[in-house]
Amino acid sequence: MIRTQVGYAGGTKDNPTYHSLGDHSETIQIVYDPTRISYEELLDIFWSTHNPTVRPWSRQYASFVFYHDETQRELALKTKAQQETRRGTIFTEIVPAGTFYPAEAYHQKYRLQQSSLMQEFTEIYPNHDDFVASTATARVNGYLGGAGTCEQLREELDGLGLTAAGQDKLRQTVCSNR
Amino acid sequence: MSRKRLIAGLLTIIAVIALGAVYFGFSRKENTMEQIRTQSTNIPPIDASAPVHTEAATFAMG
Repeated sequence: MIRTQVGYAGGTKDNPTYHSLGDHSETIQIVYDPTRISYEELLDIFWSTHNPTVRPWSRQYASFVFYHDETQRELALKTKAQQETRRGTIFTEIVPAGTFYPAEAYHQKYRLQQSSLMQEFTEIYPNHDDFVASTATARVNGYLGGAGTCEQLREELDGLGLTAAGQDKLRQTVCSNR
Repeated sequence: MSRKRLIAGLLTIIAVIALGAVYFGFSRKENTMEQIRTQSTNIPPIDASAPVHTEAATFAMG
C-alpha cells in the first residue's frame, strides 16, 4: 500500500463535505503496488473487515466497491458471489469509480493526527497534500489504528522517518498490545 | 560643484542598491539550498522509494 485517502464518492452532489454529504458515501481510496499486493487480496480484506450482510441504514455508511477497470469489476462480482454463497445476502453495491472527493484535512490519517507522533510528521511535511500522500504517514496511521504486527513494524521502522524517540513510542504502542 | 555632489550622491545610491541586491540575492539562494537540504534529508526512506507503477482501489465499508 503506497498511500491512502478518505473521502466521499458514489453520489451526485458536487463538492460534498462531511456536514453536507448529499447522496455520497464515506469512502477510502488506496493506491497500491500490484507487485506487492493484488486486488484480490484487497477484496479479501474489504469483505472481512466490515459486515456487508446488514442493510445499510444510511447512504453515508453504505458498502460499495468502486471499480476502476474491467478486471476489478469482474473480481468484485466474483468475490461478492462467493460471499453470498457463504454468508447470505450481501448489500454491497459494485459500481464504476466516479469522482472521488477527498475529505477535510482533519479526517485524514485520523489516528496519527490524535497522536504525539503527529508533531514529527508536521515538521517533515508542512504541506497537507504531501502529508496525505505519504506512505510513511499511511503506515504509521494504520499501526496506530490497530493494523499490522510488531514484527512487521520492526522490519520497516527505520524507513518511516521517525526520530529515535518517535520510533520508541510507536514500537511501545504497537508491540505492547499485539 | 553641485553637479559633482549630485553625481557622487547618485553613484552612492546605485552602489548601495547594487550591494543590497547582491547580498539579499545570496541570502535567498542560501535559504533555498538549506530548505532543499532539509527536505531531502527529512523525507522518510519509505516515501523516497515509492514505486512508479501503482494502481488505485476505492471502497466504502459501511
